Amino acid sequence: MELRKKEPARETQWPVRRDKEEALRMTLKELRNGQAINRAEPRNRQNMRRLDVSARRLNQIRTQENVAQQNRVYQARENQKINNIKRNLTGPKSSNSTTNINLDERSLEFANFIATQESLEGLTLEQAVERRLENLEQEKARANAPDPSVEFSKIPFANELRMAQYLDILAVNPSLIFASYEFKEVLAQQGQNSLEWVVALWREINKKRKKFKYFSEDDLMEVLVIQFYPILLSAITKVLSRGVTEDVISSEMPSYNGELVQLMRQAAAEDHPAHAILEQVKEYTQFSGDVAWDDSDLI
Amino acid sequence: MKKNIPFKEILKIELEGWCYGISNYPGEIHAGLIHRIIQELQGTICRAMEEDVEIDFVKLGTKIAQASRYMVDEREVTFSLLCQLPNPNYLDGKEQQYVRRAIQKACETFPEIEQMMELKWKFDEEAVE
Repeated sequence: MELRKKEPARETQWPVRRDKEEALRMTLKELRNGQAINRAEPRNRQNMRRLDVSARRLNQIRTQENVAQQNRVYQARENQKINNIKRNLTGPKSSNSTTNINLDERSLEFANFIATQESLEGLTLEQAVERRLENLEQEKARANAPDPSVEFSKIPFANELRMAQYLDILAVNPSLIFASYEFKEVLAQQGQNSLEWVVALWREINKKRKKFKYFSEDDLMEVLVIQFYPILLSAITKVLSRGVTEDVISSEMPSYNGELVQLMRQAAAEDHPAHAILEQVKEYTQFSGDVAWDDSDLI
Repeated sequence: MKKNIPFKEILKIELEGWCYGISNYPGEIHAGLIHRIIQELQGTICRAMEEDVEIDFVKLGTKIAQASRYMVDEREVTFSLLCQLPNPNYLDGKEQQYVRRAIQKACETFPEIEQMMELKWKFDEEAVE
């Protein structure tokens, strides 16, 4: 058997090897001179940029996650608050010692007075104004009376209870509580000065009162706000002159965008029926001069 | 360009705007209107509570009462302003402290305020029941 002649190993082509060697030498040279790094730099920069973008995206995702988490926590807290309030609203009636308080005749009279006699509840605008004018007449007569210290029983619960006469419909709780508190003070000598008594009185008033009407077209409030609207506009002009933009007013100052201002706008229209009634009310009002703007020490 | 105004400053301007409006109201201002305006301020007062911006309710009450030519008693206005704050029993932490602090401060001038606030919260509960 004839052995195959071993072929001589194929030599690598010179130019290639030479190229490699040359390239290596050149690289070493460049490395020594620092040029290789410079050449690698754009690639590194590109990689860095990619890394940077990834890191930024990661950060963005993390921030979004954080915000979402914070929102979830905030929402949970808000829900908790709402639930607490709801629990209170719908919760079972707490057994309270106040339920057993029997009101005396005078207290019942007072409760009846607030609930029915002088309340603006259910009145039309005209009726409310009529009631208001009647009261102004009474106040005027009382102011002109030679002896203002009239007997308590003769004054229908006197000046300290005027809240009960007019305001309970407009700002039920603060006014009525205030009136009740004052009344409690008045009756302190009669041994009725207790929180329980006032609460019992409140319950009695609520029994007599069918519903509250806070805010409607028939309210006296429309007449009152007509004159307020131009002043409010002038106040807003002043606000704007202080560098506050309209955006800030609409987003940061809720009271200038609330129901009251809406009502003012509607009532300010000249064809609004409240204008005619205002003329009647004007007889009892006096104009006073402008007052300067002074915001020192409010907060 | 939108100017960045701190909340405290906005609050000051907003409150003063209303005081200015009340001051310039022609003739006798109806107490109901004052209470209604204060009611409108509820959102602002609650935000001040959230942002922990201290309001001197007695001073503000006095200012509003003064603006109304004392048609409404300053104690009543102060009380009405405090009524816009939520019941601290349903709040926690910072906000609860804020309300208690506000009431305590008002009590220094009007000691009966605390009892009146308790009364108010009781009424709120009664009204719901």
